[in-house]
This record gives sequence, C-alpha cells and structure tokens, in this order.
Amino acid sequence: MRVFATYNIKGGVGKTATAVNLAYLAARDGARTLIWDLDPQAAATFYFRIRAKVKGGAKKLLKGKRPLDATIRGTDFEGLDLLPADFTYRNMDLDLVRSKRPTQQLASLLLPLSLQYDYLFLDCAPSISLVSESVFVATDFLLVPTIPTTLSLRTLDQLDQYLQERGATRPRILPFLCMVDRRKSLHKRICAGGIEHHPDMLETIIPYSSLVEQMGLHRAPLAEFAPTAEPARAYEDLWAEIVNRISL
Amino acid sequence: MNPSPLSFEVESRDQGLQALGRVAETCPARVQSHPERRSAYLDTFDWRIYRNGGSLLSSREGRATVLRWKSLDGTPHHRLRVTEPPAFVWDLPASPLKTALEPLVEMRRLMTRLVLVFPSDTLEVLDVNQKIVARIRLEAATAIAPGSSTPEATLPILLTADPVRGYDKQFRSLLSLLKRLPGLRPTASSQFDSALRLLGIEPSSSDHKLRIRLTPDIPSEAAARRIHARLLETIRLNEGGVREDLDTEFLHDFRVAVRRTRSALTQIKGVYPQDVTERFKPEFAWLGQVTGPKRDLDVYLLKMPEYRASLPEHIQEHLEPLQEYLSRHQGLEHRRLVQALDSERYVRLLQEWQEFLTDSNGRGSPDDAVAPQAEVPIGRTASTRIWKAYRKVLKRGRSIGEDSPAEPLHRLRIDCKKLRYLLEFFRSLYDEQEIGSLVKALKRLQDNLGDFNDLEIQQASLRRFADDMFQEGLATGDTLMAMGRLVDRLEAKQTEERQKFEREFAKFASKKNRARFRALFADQSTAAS
Ligand SMILES: Nc1ncnc2c1ncn2[C@@H]1O[C@H](COP(=O)(O)OP(=O)(O)O)[C@@H](O)[C@H]1O
Ligand SMILES: [Mg+2]
Repeated sequence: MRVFATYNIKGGVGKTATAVNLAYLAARDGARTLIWDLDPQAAATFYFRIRAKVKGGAKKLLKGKRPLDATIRGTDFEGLDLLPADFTYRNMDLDLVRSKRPTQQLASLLLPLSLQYDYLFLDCAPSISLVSESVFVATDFLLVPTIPTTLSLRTLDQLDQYLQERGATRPRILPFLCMVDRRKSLHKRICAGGIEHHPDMLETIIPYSSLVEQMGLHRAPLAEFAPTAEPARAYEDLWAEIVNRISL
Repeated sequence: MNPSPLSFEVESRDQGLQALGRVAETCPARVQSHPERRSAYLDTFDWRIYRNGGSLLSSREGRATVLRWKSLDGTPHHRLRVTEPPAFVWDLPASPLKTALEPLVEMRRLMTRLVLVFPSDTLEVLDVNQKIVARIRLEAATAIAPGSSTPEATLPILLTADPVRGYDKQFRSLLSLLKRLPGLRPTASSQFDSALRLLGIEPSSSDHKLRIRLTPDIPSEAAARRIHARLLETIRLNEGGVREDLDTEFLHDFRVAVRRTRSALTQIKGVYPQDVTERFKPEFAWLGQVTGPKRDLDVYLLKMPEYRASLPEHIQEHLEPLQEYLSRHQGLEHRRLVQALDSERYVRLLQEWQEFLTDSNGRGSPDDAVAPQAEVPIGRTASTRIWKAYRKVLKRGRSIGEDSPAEPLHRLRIDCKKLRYLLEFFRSLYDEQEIGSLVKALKRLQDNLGDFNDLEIQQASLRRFADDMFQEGLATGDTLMAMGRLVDRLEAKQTEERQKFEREFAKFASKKNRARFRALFADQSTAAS
C-alpha cells in the first residue's frame, strides 16, 4: 500500500479537492483505494455523501479499541472506500500525545489496511502539530497543493527544509501548483519561478475554476459531473504524472 | 466480515422489474437502465485462465475498457481500466492484474471466448443523503460464443443484490425483503457457468494432454487409428490460428501433432499396410519441414526480451536491428507457410489421411495384405514398443561419458522424445500414477537434453542471423558485437547444462525407475514375443 497525504499548513488551498479527485481516479484505474478524512470539518466525507461520525470517536480509534476496518464505508464508486471524519478529530493531537508512542501510533494503525488497499489518501486538516508529525511517519508521499503566491512558495521552502532536517527518506514531497489563473501575469510569473526553484514540482497545473467549487453542490468528484472540462482533465494529468513519478 | 452478494433466479424480466419496484416502494431508490450492455469473457484458445480457476471479464465503460479478474466462485481479485482490450498480456500496463496473468497466459492471445449481451437495470438503494447503500442488478443475458457450433444461448435471468461496505444493516433488511417476494429463487450458479453449460463448451478438456482412451484388448491397428485421428483433430483445430498467426502456440501445437503423427507411424511398427506407412511418412515429414522456419523465428522473437535482459543495459539497444530482422523474416516465413497450407499437396494429404483413418474396412482395397501386427492386442504392442524404446535410451545414455561430444547427446534426446511420445500415446493402458511418475522422470532428463540442444542451435542461428544481417547491411559493428556477447553467454550456459547431464541421467536410470519400467512393460512385452 502506498500512502499519500494532501498536506499544507494553510487551509483553503485545495487539499481536499485534490485528495477526493485523485483518490477517485486511482480507484477508477482499478486500484483498491481508501481515503481517510482526518479533518474534523469533514469536507471529503461530505463530498461522498457519507455521515461524518465514528463510533467512539478519535479516542477509541487511535487507541486501537475500534479497528479502522469496522469504520470504513464504501463510496458510490467501485474500488473507492472512505474512513469518515468525526468531530472528535479536532482533539486528535491530544489523543496522540496520551498514547504510548505518539508519532508511531497512526502508522501502526494503518498496518492492517496495507493488504486491503493499493493506495491510501490521508486528507489532512491544516495545522502544524503532533498530527503532522504522525502523518509524516505514516506517509510515503506528501502532495502539497501550492497556490501561486510568493508567500506560499516560501512556505513550501520551509516545508522542504523541515523535511530535510528531519533526515528521513520518507515522505517524498510532491508539490504542485493549483488554483492558477493563467490570465493573471503575476500567476504566470510565479508559476514559472516556482517550477524553476523547486525541482520536485510536478509539471501539471490545476487551474482556478468554479467547477471545483461546484463539487460541493454535486457532492461528487469532478469526473462524475464535468468529465471533459479543464479541471477534470488537469486532475487526470496530475494523477498520470504522479503514477509515473512514483514508479521511478 | 463483509456480506457477499446474493443472486436470485427469476422467471421473467418483468417479474424482476416488479421486484425492483417493490423494493423501491420501501426506501428511497433510483434505477439506472441500459438497453444493451456487453461483457466479453477473455481467455486463451486453450482456456488457461478458466483452467486456473478464474475468469477475465472485459466491459466497455464510457470510452475505456474495464477488465475484471474473478475466481470462478465470483470473488473479485483485480480490476484494471485500459484504453483498449489487450490482445496479449504484454499489452497491459504494469499492474497487479498483469503480474497475476503473466505466468498463466504467457505468450497466448487473449481471445473473446464468450460474449454476454444483456439489458441491465440496476436499482440503487439510497439513504437520506442520496448515498448508495446497496444495489440490485437485474440481468437477462444472451450468451454468444464466437465460432461455436451452438452460437447462442439464453441464460437464466438473475437478480443480484450487491452490498456496499459499511452498510450491513441496510443490506440485511434488503435481503429479508427480497426473500419474501414471490418467484425469487436463490441460486449459486454464475452466468459464466450457465453460459458454458448451455453452449456445450468444455474448457477443462482443452489442454495439451492427448486423452486417448484405449483398452489393452483392442487390435493394434484400431488403436493406432484412434491415436492418429486424435492428432489429426489437433492439427485441424490449430490450423486457423496458424493461418491467422493469432499467437505462436497454434503453430507450436500444430507441429507437435505433426511430429507425434510421424512418430506413431514409425514407432508403432507393422500395424498399417506398408504402402500406407510409406506414403504418409514423407508427407508428414514435409509438413514438419515447411512449418519449421516460421516456428524458429517465433521462438527467437519470444526470446528477445530474455536476450535483451541478459546484456548490460547500455548495449541492449544494439539488439534492435536483430528484432527488426526477425520480425521481417517472420512475416515472410508466415506467408510461405500459408502458401504451403493452401497447396494442393497439403489439402490432399489431410483429406487422404482422414479417409484412411475413417475407412471402416481399414484397408484401401480388399486385396491389401493385413499388416503383421494389425490384429495383435494393443496392450502387448504398446509394452513391446515402450520397452524397446526404453532399452535404447538406457543403452545410449550409458555409453555417454564426461568427454563425449555433443552428437550422442542429440541422438539420446531424440530417443527420449520417441519414448515420451509412446508413453503418452498409451498412457491410458497403464496405472495412471505409475506411468505419470515415469513420464515426470523422463521429462526432467528431456529438459536437460532439450536445453543443451536448444542452446547449441541458438548459437548457430545467431551466427547465421548475424551473417545475413551483415549481408543485408542491417547490422552495425555495435550490433554484431552485442550478438557476439549473446553467443558467448549461450555457450557458457550450454556448458552448464552439459555438466548437469551425468547427474540427470543417473537419476533417470536409477534402480528404482528401472524396476518400475520393468514391472510396467517388460513382462507384457515378453509375453508378446
Ligand atoms: N482549483 C480550484 N479552483 C477554484 N476553487 C477551488 C479549487 N480548488 C479548491 N477550490 C475551492 O476552494 C475551497 C477550498 O478547497 P479545499 O480543497 O477544501 O481546500 P483545503 O482542503 O486545503 O482546505 C473549496 O471551496 C474548493 O471548492
Ligand atoms: Mg480540507
């Protein structure tokens, strides 16, 4: 099982949109795919029309008292399952601190899933806390949606540096530019600079599009309601590029 | 444990639709209808996937094709979305499905063996958020088998309830509702099985085994005819695939059947009138010859990936001209082969051979002499022939020492092949387990001898190809050097095989095996003489 996490310290940058659309595409290709909505705001859970409720809450789940297995729900799409969010996830860092091996706990919870799924997508809440460190330990690839502003690129630099100082070979970082408005010359310039500056930066760019916002109306991935539109195509390209990149 | 799907048989599509309607009255639901869906079961000509307990279903979904590999009991294993249905496993992108199929299917073409055409209605059972919590599929399928004598069959109409993970409660109440509806009978049989049964297709009997059923008391000539008739059937069965060059195994199996035919003609001595043997022997030899060059090129093309991988990565591309050369000549030789199959000589050969085999009288004309061994019970003939062939193998094998040249090894290889064919022709006359283990022992020795010979031929052929390519201006120095390295490797491997021979032969000629051969064949054969 390969574990992806959509990650960014900032909210509202397209993490959930990315996790939902890429997980959908992975499953459509034929991979057994699970998405875990770690954000108490439960956006990913909402997109799949699933109730954001975990029996016993984060506490029981993290202690291993309630196996993840029993919480998983099938989405409407073949091969794609979801572990729902729960309101109690907002205290997840506290629950983790109390556990025996705070940073390893999440990774060891995932172990039993590794035979059932080819891909796991963790959709993270925006924060820098113990949850992030647990996510890093459990993750193979960090998908980092990056909006084209100088500030976001600096944040990306910091993340890069942090991961380097951490010293581990995992997770590998896979940043990409999103919410890009090609008509804005500033966006164009920043994109060009971003790609140049970050050798890991994926080439595919996710454009700014109101269709992405409409996922909330349709409560479905882009490919289900606007399969031929530009953003749906862009996510297809992004997934193809990622598959290619990680198989090297 | 997650619940598994449950199928019911219904009398008619209307009854099924009524059942869907009844469910829809009790909970929010919507219907997805398709007037005509098509699914194709892909398998090889010899049903390798089925015989390994699986099925590979290919269905069009939008612009893509989705492949699903399931166990015969319906358990899904792998799914893969591709742009086109694959003709060969190597057409598939790297995926768990490819990895799983590769060892089964090998170089065989994935052909459409069965098509299901059906109007499909799926009831999606929803919760308050319009989320699907279960599905009920109604499928009234017609099965079509391309190229089968029974081309179409109407399958039982199935209503299948599919659970969605994590919604067990909803699924259970759906099942209890369905079970209460009139006219629904739970069933375990799959559409695939029903289709095979109704179309009279028996995949399990399509392997390479000869499966000739003989009893010891039938006259030798009748038995020989039965063996030859079975081989002729194989020749005819594979001819279409040879002509169309669907994959390499059609020609391979065709040629094996020709070789076996020839071997039976010479090895089962004195059962046919002499003029018959003399007439057909050279004809089948000719058929072996004209099909040879294409087979050789097939073999080398199949070996190319292995050749490439055996060289250091940076010189692998230098083999590209060899690949081109082989492909071009393969095309040429295929055309020549088809010409031979179109020739008067071939058509007449098969026709007259068939006539001879089915001639109830057994002989061309009443004044033909009865062959000396024709009336002898086959049990005795078989034991005599096998015992002789076995003794010959032992004698030749024992005469080979560590310093012997390659020649006697090649002769031994041919002796072993003759013995092997005899054991296979007459398998049904002996204890299945006993003869099975002797065949296995012989096969090990044959593998060693076969590899040794094969490696030698490969070296000679590669030299010849290099010559040709040089003449045709196809080969640069780099290519010739790469091919030279290949020849060196093959030579080293051949030496390895040679060193294994003594041990392999000793195993085959062990006391235990000798006793077994004697017990099975010697007593009955002395009784005959
Ligand atoms: N490429 C895009 N173009 C336009 N709107 C987008 C795009 N990606 C995301 N959005 C919208 O921005 C908001 C935040 O996106 P979301 O994926 O939830 O971000 P995050 O998970 O990082 O908080 C949502 O309303 C979403 O529909
Ligand atoms: Mg989010």
